[in-house]
Parts: sequence; structure tokens; C-alpha cells
Amino acid sequence: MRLPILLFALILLLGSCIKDAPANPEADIESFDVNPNMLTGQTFIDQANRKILLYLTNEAYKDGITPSISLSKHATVTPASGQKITFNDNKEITYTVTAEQSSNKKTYTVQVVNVGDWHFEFEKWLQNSVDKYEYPVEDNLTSIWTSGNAGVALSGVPKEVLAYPTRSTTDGYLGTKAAEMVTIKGTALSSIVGIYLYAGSLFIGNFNSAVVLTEPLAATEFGAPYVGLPDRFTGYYKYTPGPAYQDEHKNIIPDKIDECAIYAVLFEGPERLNGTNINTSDRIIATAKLNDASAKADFTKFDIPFTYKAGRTPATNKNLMLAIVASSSKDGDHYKGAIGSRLVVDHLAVIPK
Amino acid sequence: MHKYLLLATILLGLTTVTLAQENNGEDKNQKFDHTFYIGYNIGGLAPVSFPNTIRKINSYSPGPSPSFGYELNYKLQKKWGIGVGIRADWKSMNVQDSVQYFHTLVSVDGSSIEGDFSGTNTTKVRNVYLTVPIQATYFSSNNWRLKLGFYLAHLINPSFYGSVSNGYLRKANSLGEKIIIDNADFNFNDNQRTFDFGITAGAEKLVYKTFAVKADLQWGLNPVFPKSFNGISFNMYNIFGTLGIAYHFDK
Repeated sequence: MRLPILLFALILLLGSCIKDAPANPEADIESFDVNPNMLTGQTFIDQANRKILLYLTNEAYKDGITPSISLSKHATVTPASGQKITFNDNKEITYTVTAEQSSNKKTYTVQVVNVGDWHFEFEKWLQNSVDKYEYPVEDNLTSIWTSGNAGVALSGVPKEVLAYPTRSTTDGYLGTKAAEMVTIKGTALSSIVGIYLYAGSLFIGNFNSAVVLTEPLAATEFGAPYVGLPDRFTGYYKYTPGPAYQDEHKNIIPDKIDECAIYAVLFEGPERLNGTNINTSDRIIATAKLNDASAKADFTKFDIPFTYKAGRTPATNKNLMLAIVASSSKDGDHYKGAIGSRLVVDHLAVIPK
Repeated sequence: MHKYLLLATILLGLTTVTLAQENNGEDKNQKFDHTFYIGYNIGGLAPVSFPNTIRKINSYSPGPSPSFGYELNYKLQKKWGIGVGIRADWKSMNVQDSVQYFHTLVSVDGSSIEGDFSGTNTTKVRNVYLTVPIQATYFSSNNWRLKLGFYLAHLINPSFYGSVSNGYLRKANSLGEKIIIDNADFNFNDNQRTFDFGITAGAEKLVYKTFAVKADLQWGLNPVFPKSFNGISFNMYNIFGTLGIAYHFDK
């Protein structure tokens, strides 16, 4: 009788030996703090594409900045936190983080984002190195626009451009490329968490994938610093709604036809708006929204004046921000729409007053 | 592999029967011994040595784990015999542990997500196995019998599920972006192998007339998840002890 009990106790003893903790393999730049007086918009760290996006005042750009950097526990970085960096010589600035587990290294590229000219042609696209989705960049390779593709990547779609709802297309109005958004079916994995559809989306701002599972609407952070006041929002689009509209539970709603969304919102920064408050925030100053969101077989021009909220004149000392948002299903943020709905936009522009 | 083991079982079974037939003389009643038993399984589906990604076991309980069995022992000589049995085993456990950089790849119908999870893992196992133990039995003079052998088992009702919570996933690997996870469920029922085998050892003592108390151990040698499964990056084995009461016939 004693033997098997002893044996069993021995096994439990063997099994319950907790080993020493592994050295920390993480190599994140968790924050990149710059004196807020030198910023026109909040700094964003694009963890998926390893970029630090800075929105600097002219003075800060000229004089350089001295960021204070926080890292994953026990990680180190070069150049070090507190070391001054300057932008004069047009050299690419990178930070290399070495994890405690020193074979793990990660390199972040610093990008100074300056939306000088609010005309967007969507001619240049890059590909995420891990998940293979496309994202548009400006001629100087900075990221102004982003999409929900990084979130869709989490649902385990195939790692190829066309598996994602937002991508480039050669079916553009002018030039060689345009931005294409297609509402796609969810995956077997996403249906476990009750997501049956992903709308294509394209917006000015950033996608914060950290919160995409806990607070999906907060993952879309809208807006970039805007100087002056906008007068009109213009561009070209075409739209084909998908054949069957479904609600968030995958129930087909007969006779309901999907609509696209294209709009611009001017608001008080430097904190961005997100999917929870882009339509409702008190900080909104003006909006320009496409009203006719129905099917358009050919490229159709729109030219929408900004409607300023009554009595809402921005304080002069406030940083203004402007967001442009487009989606192939206007309720796609709540996982409603028609699979197959396709929106193409090209030559978006904001005309100042 | 398991085909050979099944073959071995059948051969051994046949041998037993043949031996039984050869000895169906006057002392038949003493050669054969039938035992019925019930018991309770305590153990776990566990790695033999904990990987360093498991940081702390927060809680463990055995769960509903009854065991019912029948065993036929045949005495080859005064002290030694051979035994074969059939038993139904509920091999259950509830465990909650803290993990760090726990590599996982979950795949459902062609969509998959891979990464390193850090946080709390809660696992519930409710597997039911039909088991055939084959053992050498030593009959000691003072009402003890000791057994050593191996077992073959078929998973008839797979159940392995749980959740991960209060943590984050590093997408793809430890350098990937951090995704905060409040709570996410998993279910690996059908990823488990249906065949298990291992070694078994046990002891039994008659305590009152034909009633005996018994204890045995089943140590699985076949990883419960096949190599092709990447949800858990280390091998896990069925390691269960059984405490029970036995009833001897033909004594």
C-alpha cells in the first residue's frame, strides 16, 4: 500500500518543481515621452510595424528633441533614453532595443509625421512584414493613413494581401493606384468571439492593436494635427454594396442595402478621438460627411463643405486635429454590413478656408 | 505503434485463456480470481517536468474522477500470477496556473493565431478512458498482492477546455505586438489522441473477508496531444493514481 502512494508523492514532487523564471524576452519601447510643448499631436508607437510616429512643432523639428523612453523590464536601448536626437541631416533615426534575453532585439524607426499638404493619392503602399497586409504611406514613407487590417490579422486570415479587407487597387481614378475596401467574412476563429464580418476601413490616425480584443472601438485612434481651418472635403469614390446585409449575429436582413461611409471630422487635440466617440465627442468642431452613400458604378466626385457646430470656434491655443474615415460598410465598426461590399476611394483632399 | 500494443494485449489475453483451459482441473477455483473495484482517480494531465513558462500553480483539484473496473487474475504458481482487466476511468483535473511566454498556436478551420501568452491559464480536463491493464501479480502471504505491468487505453469521451485571462498575447513570438486579453476560452477536446498507453503499478490488501483496499498508479507514456498540435508547446501525459475498494470473487 505504501509503495504506490510513495511513488505518486514522488511524481507530484517532481512535477511541482517550478523552474527559475526565463529571462525577459520582450523588447518593447513602451513609451516615448517628449515635452508636450514640442508636440502638435500625441506620439504614437506603432508596435505592429515598429514605428514611432512623432507630430512635432516647427521649433522642435529644427532644434531636435530629448525623449524619455521606457522599455520592457530589463531591456536596454540605443541611443539611450535622454539622449538628444536631431532631424536636420535627413538621416533615418532608429532605436534598437535589446531584451534581457539578449538574443531578442527589435528596431524601431522614428518618423516625423507632417501632413503639410492634405491631398492624398494612395499611390504608395507598404506591406506588413509578418502578416502581409498592405498599408498606404506618403512619398516620404511616413504613415498618415491606417486601417483595421492589423486587427483582422488576429483572426488568423491567410497571410496574403487579398485576405485583408483594406488594400491597394489598380482600379484608381487617376494615377496607378487607389485604396480599396471590401467587407469580408469573418474567420472560424473570429466567429468564436462572435465576429462574423470585417468591413474594410481606411482612416487618418493609428491602429492600437493592444486593445483590439478588450475594447475594439478604442483601437481605431483617429486624427492628425491640422493647421488652420478646413473649408471643404473632396475626393472620388465608387461603391458596390454586397448582395445580402447581415446584422452582428449573422442574421440576413431582407431588403436592407449596405452603405459606405466617408467623412471628415475636425476636433480639438492633441488627444485623438476613437471609435467610441468620433461621432459624439464635445471636442468636435466641424464635420463633412458624404450623404449619398449608395451604389456608384463609376468614379463619382464629391465636394462637401465642413459644417461648423454653432458657436464652436476653436480656442487659439488648442491643437486642432482632423480625421478622415472611410469604410465599405458604415456600421462595420459594429460588425454589420454586407459581405462583398466594395468601396474605392482616390484623390481625397481637404481644402482650407 | 498502438496496433502492436493491441496485438500484444490480445495475445496475452489468449495466453491467459489457454493457460486457464490447460489447468481446468481440480484446483480451478484457486487458480482464478475475479475482482471488481471502484475507486477515485487523483492526478493530472501534466508535463513530466514543468517547463519554465509555468510560473506558479494557483490552484489544483482532482475533479470528478471515479474509476470502475474488473480484473481477472490467474495464478501461474503459488506466489506469481498474471492479471488482465478492463476499467473505465474518469481522468479529470482542475488547474489554474500563472504562465509567462507560454507559446501557443490555435487553429480553427484554416484560421490560426500563434503567439506567446503571459497571464492566467485555467484548464479543466474531464476525459473518460476505457483501459485494459495487463499486469504481473505477486501474491504475498499476508493478504497483500502487488502488481506491475502496462496499460492500453482508449479515450471514449474527450474533454479538455478552459480559458486564458488577465494577460496578454505577444503575436507570433515574444517580439510581436502585445494584445491585451481579458478572457478567452479554448477547447482542445478533439485535438487529443484517442489512444494512450503507459505503465501501471499497484497494491491491494484484503482487509475484511473478501473486501480489499487498493491503490494503483497509471503513468502514461504517450503524449496526450500529438506532435502536430501546437496549442501547448510541451508534452503532457496522463499521470493518475487511484485509491479504491475491491471485492474478490472465488477466494
